[in-house]
Amino acid sequence: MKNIVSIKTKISNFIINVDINLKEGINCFFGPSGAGKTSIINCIAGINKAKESKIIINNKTLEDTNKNIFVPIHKRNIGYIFQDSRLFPHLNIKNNLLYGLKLNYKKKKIFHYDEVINLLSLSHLLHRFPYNLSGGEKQRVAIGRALLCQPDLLLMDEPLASLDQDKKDELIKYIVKINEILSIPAIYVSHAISETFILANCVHFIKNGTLIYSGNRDKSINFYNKNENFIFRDSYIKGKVIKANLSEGLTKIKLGKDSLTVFSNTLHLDQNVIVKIKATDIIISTVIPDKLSSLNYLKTNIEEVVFQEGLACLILNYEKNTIKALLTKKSYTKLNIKKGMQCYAIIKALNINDVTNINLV
Amino acid sequence: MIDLSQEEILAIYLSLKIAFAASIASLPLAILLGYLFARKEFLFKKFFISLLNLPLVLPPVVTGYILLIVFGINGFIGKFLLEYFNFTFAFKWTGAALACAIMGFPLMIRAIKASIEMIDIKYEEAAKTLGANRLLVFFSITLPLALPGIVAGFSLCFARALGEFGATVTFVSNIPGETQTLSTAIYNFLQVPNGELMAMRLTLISIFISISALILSEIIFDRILRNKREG
Repeated sequence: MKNIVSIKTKISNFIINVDINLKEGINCFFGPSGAGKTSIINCIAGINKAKESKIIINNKTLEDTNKNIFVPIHKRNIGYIFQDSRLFPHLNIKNNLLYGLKLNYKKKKIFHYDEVINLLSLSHLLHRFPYNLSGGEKQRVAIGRALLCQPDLLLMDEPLASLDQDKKDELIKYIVKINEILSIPAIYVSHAISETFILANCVHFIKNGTLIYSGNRDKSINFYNKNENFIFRDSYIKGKVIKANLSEGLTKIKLGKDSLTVFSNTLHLDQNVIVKIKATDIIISTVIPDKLSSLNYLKTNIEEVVFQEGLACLILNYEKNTIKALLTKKSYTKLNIKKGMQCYAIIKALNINDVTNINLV
Repeated sequence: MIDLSQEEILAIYLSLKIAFAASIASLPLAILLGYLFARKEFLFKKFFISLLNLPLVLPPVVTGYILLIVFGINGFIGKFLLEYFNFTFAFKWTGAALACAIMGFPLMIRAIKASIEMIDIKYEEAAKTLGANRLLVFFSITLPLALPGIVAGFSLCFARALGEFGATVTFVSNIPGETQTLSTAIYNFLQVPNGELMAMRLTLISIFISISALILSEIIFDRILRNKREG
C-alpha cells in the first residue's frame, strides 16, 4: 500500500517542506510546538491548501498540484481526531457517533458500531450531550466518531494535550487497544516524547517545518538520545521486567545484560517497558560504586563530552544505547574525565512508562 | 369572557395572519442573507447591509410610500405583477404582510447574522472530515447551531409585524376584513366618537397576544439552549 505525503507550502511566514513515507501502524509526528506538525496534517485532511503537494493515501491520489488534483475534504475518507475533540454540541453522543457512519454507509465496514462502543467503553454515554462529558470521555467519543466513518487513514492531533496525567494514561490504553485492531495507517501528532515512544511504530521528527529523521521505534530512540536538539533532556532505554513484586515490593528490570531495581507494584513479569532516565538524575563514578545506597548503576563508556552553559554533558554508551548525563564543570575536572574512558553511571531515579500490556517488540 | 364583535375578531385574525405570513416568508431569505453577510466578503457588502437596515431608520410612512410607488397598481413592479400574473399587493392583506416583512426584516437578519458569526467554524470542519458536503454541513451543523438566533430573529420580526402601523396604513390603507389589523383598528376607533371603549378592549387584547408570543419564544429559546451549551 502506498502512502506518500509531500508538501511544500508557506503559511504566513513559516515554510513547510516535507516528504514523508507513511509506514503501517501508528506514525508519530514528533517535534516541538510550532514545528508545523498540525499544519502538515491539516494539509493531508484538505483543511489547509498547500502551494505544492502530492498526497497519496491508500493508493488514492488526494492531492497533486502538478496534475491539478485536489480532492475536497469530505471526499478524502480521512478520520480526524482533533485536539479539542469538536463533538457537535447539539447532538447527543449516539448521534455524534452515527454522524460519520450514516454518511459512509455504502463503504465496506472495517469498524462496526457495537465493536467501537465496546472497545472505547461508550455504552453508558450514548444518551448524554457533549457538555457534560469529561475531557477524556469526549476524546474517546471523538475517536469512535472518526473510526466509524470508515477512514483510510486516521489523524490524531495531540489528543492527550488537554487532559491531566491520569486521563492521559487512561486514554493511551484505549489508543493502544485500537492500534491492535487497526488495519489502516494512523498519524499521531505529539510534542511529548514518552507517549511517542509508547505508541509509535515509526517516528517522524519534524523541526522548523522540515523532516529531520524518520525511523522505526528502536532507531528513533537512538536518534533521540544522540540528537543535539534534545541533548539536555532525557534518555530512553528499552527494558523488560524479569522479577516483579519481590518481598520488598521491588521490581527488577533488565536492560541489556544489567538490571535495575525499582520500587513498583504495578509492573508485572515479562512486561516490556521503556525506561526514562533524566540527565540530571545520573551520578558519575570512576570506581565501582558498591558502597552506596543506590541500587542502580550501569557500566558505560564515555563517547563524547559537550560543554554548554557551564555544564558538561556526557554522552555515555551503554550496549548500543546512549545515555546522557549532566555534570558541573567542577566535578568534571575533579574526576579527570576523558573521552573513551570507562565510568559508572549511578541512576538516582528512573521513570517507567508502565502502560500495561504494550508489546514493545 | 368578553364578547368580541365580528370586526374585532377579524382584526385579531388578520393581525396574526399577516404577522405569521410576514415572518415565515422572510425567514428563508433572512437565513440565506444572514449566512452570506456573516461568512462571505463581497463587493458593496456594507451598502447592501445598510440598504436592508433602512426601514429601521426611515419614518414608516416613507417606507409605505416607497412600497406604494414600487408595488402599487401603477408601480413598476406592481404593474408587471398585475399584467403577467394577475396578482397585486395593493389594498390586499398580502400587501400588509409585505409591508410588515420589510419593516421586520432588519431585526430578523441582525439576530440570525449574529448567531451565525458566533458559531465556531471548527465544528463545520469536523463535519466535513466525516464526509459531509457543504450543503449537508449547512443543514446538519450550521443551521441547528444558529437556531437560538433564528428563533430570536423570528420572534422579533413577528413582534414588529404585530405592532406595524405606519407603513401598512400608507401602503394598503385600513380596510376592515382585508387590511385592518389590531393597530389600525385601534387607530380607527380613536377617530370616531365614543370609540375609546372599543379601542381599550383591542388594546388589552393586543397586550395579551404580545405577552403570549414573548413567553412562547422564551420557552422555545430555553429548550434550545439547554441542549446547546459549549461543547
